[in-house]
Amino acid sequence: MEFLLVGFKALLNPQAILWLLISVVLGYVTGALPGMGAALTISLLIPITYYMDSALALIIMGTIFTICVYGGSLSAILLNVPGTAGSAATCVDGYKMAQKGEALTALGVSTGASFFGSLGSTILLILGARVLLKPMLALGSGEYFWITVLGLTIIASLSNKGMIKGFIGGCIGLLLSFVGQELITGSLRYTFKSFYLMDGFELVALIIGFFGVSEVISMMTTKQKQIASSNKLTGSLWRGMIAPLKHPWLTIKSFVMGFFIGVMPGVGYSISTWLAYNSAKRSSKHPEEFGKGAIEGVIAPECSNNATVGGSLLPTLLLGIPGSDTAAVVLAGMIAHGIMPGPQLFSKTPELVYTFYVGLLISGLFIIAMGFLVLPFAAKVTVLPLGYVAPAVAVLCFAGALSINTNILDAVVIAVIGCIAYWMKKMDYPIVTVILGFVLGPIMEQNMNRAMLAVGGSVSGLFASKLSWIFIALAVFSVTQNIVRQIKERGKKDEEVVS
Amino acid sequence: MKKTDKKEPKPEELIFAILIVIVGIAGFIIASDFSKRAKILPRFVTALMVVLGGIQVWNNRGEFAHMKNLNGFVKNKTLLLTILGILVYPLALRFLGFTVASVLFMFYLMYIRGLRAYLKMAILSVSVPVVVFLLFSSLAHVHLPTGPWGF
Amino acid sequence: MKKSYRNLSILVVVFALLFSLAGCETVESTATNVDSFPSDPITIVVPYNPGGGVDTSTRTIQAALQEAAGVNIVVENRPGGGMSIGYNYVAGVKPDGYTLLAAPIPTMIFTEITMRDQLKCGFSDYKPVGAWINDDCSPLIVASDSPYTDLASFIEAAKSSTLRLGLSGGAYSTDHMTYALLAEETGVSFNLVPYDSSGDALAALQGGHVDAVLASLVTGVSAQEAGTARILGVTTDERAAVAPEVPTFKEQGVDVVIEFHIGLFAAPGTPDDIVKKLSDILTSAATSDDFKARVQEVKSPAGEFMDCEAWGEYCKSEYSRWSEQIGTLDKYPLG
Repeated sequence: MEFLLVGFKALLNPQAILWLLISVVLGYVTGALPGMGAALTISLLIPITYYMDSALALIIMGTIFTICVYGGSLSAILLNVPGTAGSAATCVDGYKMAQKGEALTALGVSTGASFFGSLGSTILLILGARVLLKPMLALGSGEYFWITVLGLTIIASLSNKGMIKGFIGGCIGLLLSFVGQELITGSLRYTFKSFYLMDGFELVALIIGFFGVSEVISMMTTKQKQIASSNKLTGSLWRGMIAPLKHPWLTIKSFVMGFFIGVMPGVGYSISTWLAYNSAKRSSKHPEEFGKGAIEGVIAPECSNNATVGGSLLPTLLLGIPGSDTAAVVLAGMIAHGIMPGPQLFSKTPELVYTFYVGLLISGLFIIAMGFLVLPFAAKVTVLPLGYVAPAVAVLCFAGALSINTNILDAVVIAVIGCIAYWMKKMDYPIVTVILGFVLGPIMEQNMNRAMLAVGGSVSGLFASKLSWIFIALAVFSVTQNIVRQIKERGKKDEEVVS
Repeated sequence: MKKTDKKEPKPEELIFAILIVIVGIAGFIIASDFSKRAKILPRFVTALMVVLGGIQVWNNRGEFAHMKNLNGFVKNKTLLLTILGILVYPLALRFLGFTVASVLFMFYLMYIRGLRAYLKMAILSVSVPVVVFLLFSSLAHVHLPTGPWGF
Repeated sequence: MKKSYRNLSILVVVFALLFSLAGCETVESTATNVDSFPSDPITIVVPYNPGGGVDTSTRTIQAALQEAAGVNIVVENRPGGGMSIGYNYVAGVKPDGYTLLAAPIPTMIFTEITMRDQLKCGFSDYKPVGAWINDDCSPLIVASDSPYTDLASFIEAAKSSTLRLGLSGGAYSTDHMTYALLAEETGVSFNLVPYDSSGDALAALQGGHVDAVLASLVTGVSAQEAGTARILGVTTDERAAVAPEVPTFKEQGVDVVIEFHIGLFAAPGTPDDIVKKLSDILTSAATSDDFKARVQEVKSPAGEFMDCEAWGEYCKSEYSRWSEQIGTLDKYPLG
C-alpha cells in the first residue's frame, strides 16, 4: 500500500499537474465530440510523453481514457449523438430526460455514475489483477464464440416493437461487419475493388452516421422549437450526481458487469453498456419507464462504460493483450517507454502499476470536477433553438467522421447511412441492434474460425471445450426467456384490447 | 406482429422489407465467390435476411394498396431539402474545403428550417466551421479537407 | 439567451487559441538544394495505425533522427489497405526528400507483389534510405511446461500427431510465410490458428489452446524472461542479439531463414544526393547514444544498422527471393 503513496508523490510537481489538467480538458473535449476519441488523443500525446517521467506518462494516458469515456455522455444526453461508442446506450434515456427539460439532472447522473464506475473498476483492478489471470487465460476461442452468440441473443430483448425488426437490424450490422478483407483467408468480401472498403467500415463512422446524422434530420424536421419540451431548464446537477447512491445495487451490478466485459479482449463498451442497460431494465420495479427518461437508464450504461475502461486495462497490463482499441494505444505507449506488460510488471516494478492506479483514481475525481465546472453551462444547449443547434451538430458530426482517417468517403458513408437510419428510426427499427451486430460480427466469426481450425476445420471445435457449455446454456436460456416474455406481453396486450 | 391501434397505412415498411430481401439475395449470391471458410457466416446472415425480410413483406402485404400515401413523404419539403443538403455536403467538402462548405451548409440548413435572422445566421455559420477547423488542425493535427484556398 | 451565446463563443474562441498555441504547424517545402537539406521539417509516413510495430519502432528513433537532422521529424499515420494507402501516398509526393515512407520488409515486398495492379509504382522505384531494425523475426515459441526442448523434438512430435500452431498474423503476413517455409522444408502439417496479435497468440499458448506459436520476437523474449514461455528457435540468419541463447533454425538443421527489417524509403524520383544525405542522417541517428539507450530499454531488435547502400542491396536480393517464393503462400493457405 505504501506504493500508492509513491504514486501520489509522482504527481506533486507543477509540471505533472499542468499536464494532468491538459489531459483532462483534452480528454473531455475529444470524448464529447463525436468521432475523435481516447485512442486518437492518446496516440497523439505519446510522442510528447517521451520527454516525461514514465509514471506521469501512464497517468496521463489513463486519465485521458477515463475522462474521454465520461465525456461521451455530454453529447449523448444533450443531442442524442453519442460522443463515443460507449455512450450510445446513454442516449436512450439521457436524451429523453433532456427533452423533458431535465438535462442537468441527467448530466449529473452520468457524472456520478461515471465516477463510481471508474472508482469501482479501479478497485477491482487493484484487487483482482493477479487472481483473474488464470481464468482469463482459460477462455479460448470456443468460449468467446458462444459469448458473442449470447450477446446477439440480447438483441431479442432490446427490440420493443417486435423481434423481427430487431433481428433484421442485427443482420444489417453483421453484414456491414463482413465488408472488408477477411483476415484468415485474405479473401476480399463485398469490397467491389475499392481500397476504402478493403479495410471495412469504422465503428465510429457508423455510430456517427446511425445516431448523429439521423438525429440531425430528426431535429430539422421536428416541430419542436428546441430539444427540451419547454424553454426552461429544470433539474439539478447535485441530485443527479447522488442518484447512483440511491440505487446502490444497480450501480454495483453495472460496474462489475462493465469490468468483466472489459476484461475480455475485443468485447468493449459498445457491448457492456447495452448489457448493463438491459439488465437494469429487467431488474427494475418499473421497466416501462425505460426509454422515457428513467434515471436508472442513465446510471447503468455510464457506470459500466467507465468500468470497462478499468477492465480493459487488466489484460493489457497483465498479458499485453489490449482489451480494446484504446487499450491498444495505451499498450503502445507503455512499450514506447520501455515498460513491458506481463506478470513481471507487477513483481519487478509494482510502483509503476500503482502510480497508474493512482492516476485512475484521481481521474475519477476529475470527473466530478468537470461535472461542476462545465455542465451547468453545457446543459443550456437543450434550450437553444433547434434551427441553430441542428446545423452545428451536423458540421460537428462530419468533422468527427473526417477526423478518423481524413477520408472524404467517410463523410459520404455517414451521409448515406444517416438518411437510411432516419428512415429506419421512423419505422421503429431499433438501430442499436445494427451496431451490436456490427461489433459482435467479427469477434464471432474470428473465434468461430479459430475454434474450428484448432481441430482441423470441423464444427466440433465449437463444442470441444467444457467451459463453452456454460455459455451455450446461457444463450439458450436467454433466447427462451425472451420468447416467453414476448408471448406473455402479447397475451396481455390482446387482453387489454379485448377489455 | 404488434399492430398500432389506428390502422395507419405504412407503405414504407413494405418498401424497406422488399429492399432487405433484395439485399439479402444479392449478398448471398456475391458471397458464393468468397473462399470456403469466408463464406459461411455471410451466407448464413444473408439467408436469414431474406427469410426475415420475407416475413416482413408478408406482414405488410396489405400496403401495396397504400402506395399513394407516399405523397406524405414527398410533400415534406423540409425533409427532402435536408436530405438533399446532407448528400451534397460531402461533395462540397471535397471541392470547396471544409470551412467554406460548412459555412454554406450551415446557412442552408438554417434557412430551410425557417430562420430569417440573417445576421445571427451568418455569424454562427461562419464562426462554428472556423473554430472547428482551427481546433482540429492544431489540437489533433487532423487534416480536414481544404479547398483551393488552403482551408 | 444572448448572454449564453456570448459566453459560449468566448469560451470556444479561448479554447481554440489555447490549443493553437500548443500545436505545431508544418510548412510546405520547395527546397531541393542538397547543401541546405534539410531546411524544413521531414515527414515520415507510417502506413499503419498508431501503436503497431512499425509505428512504435519509428517513434523510437524519432528523437535521435530529429537531433541528427536538425529539423523537426513528424510521424504521420496513413493506415489502410494493408499498407497500400501509405505506399501509394508516398509514391505520389514531391520527391524532394521531405516525405519518407517507413516500411517493413519483407511485408512491403509481399504487398507489392500481390497488389501490383492497385499500386502506383513498383517496389524498385522506391529509393532505399536505410534500415534501423534488422534483427527481427517470428520465432517458434512453446509454453514453458511444454515437453519440447528444441526444434528437433518439436518437429518429431508434429510429424506423428497434428499439433496446433498459432500465428500472430493473417494471410500473406510474414508469419504466414514463416510457417509456409517451415512446412515446405520439413513436410510437417499443423492445425493453424491465426490470432490478431502476438499478445493474443501468447495468451492462447499459456492457456493451453495451442501447442506452439509464431509470435513477435520481442513478445517472445519478454515471455521467456517471465518464465511463461520457451523460444525453440529464431529464423534469423544469425542468433538474435536480444536472445543470444536461442539457436537459429539453421543451426538446428532446419534451413528456414526469414528476417524482418524496418527501413526508410524515399519517394520515387528523389535525387541520389538527397538520398545519401538522408542515409547519413539516419546513420548518425541509429548509432547515437540516445537511440542505443532506447533500444536497450525497450529490448528492440535493432541489430546492425544498414545504410542506403547495404539496405538497397538487401532489398534487391529480398525482392528477387520473394518473387520466386511467393507461390509458397498459396501452397500452404491458412484456412
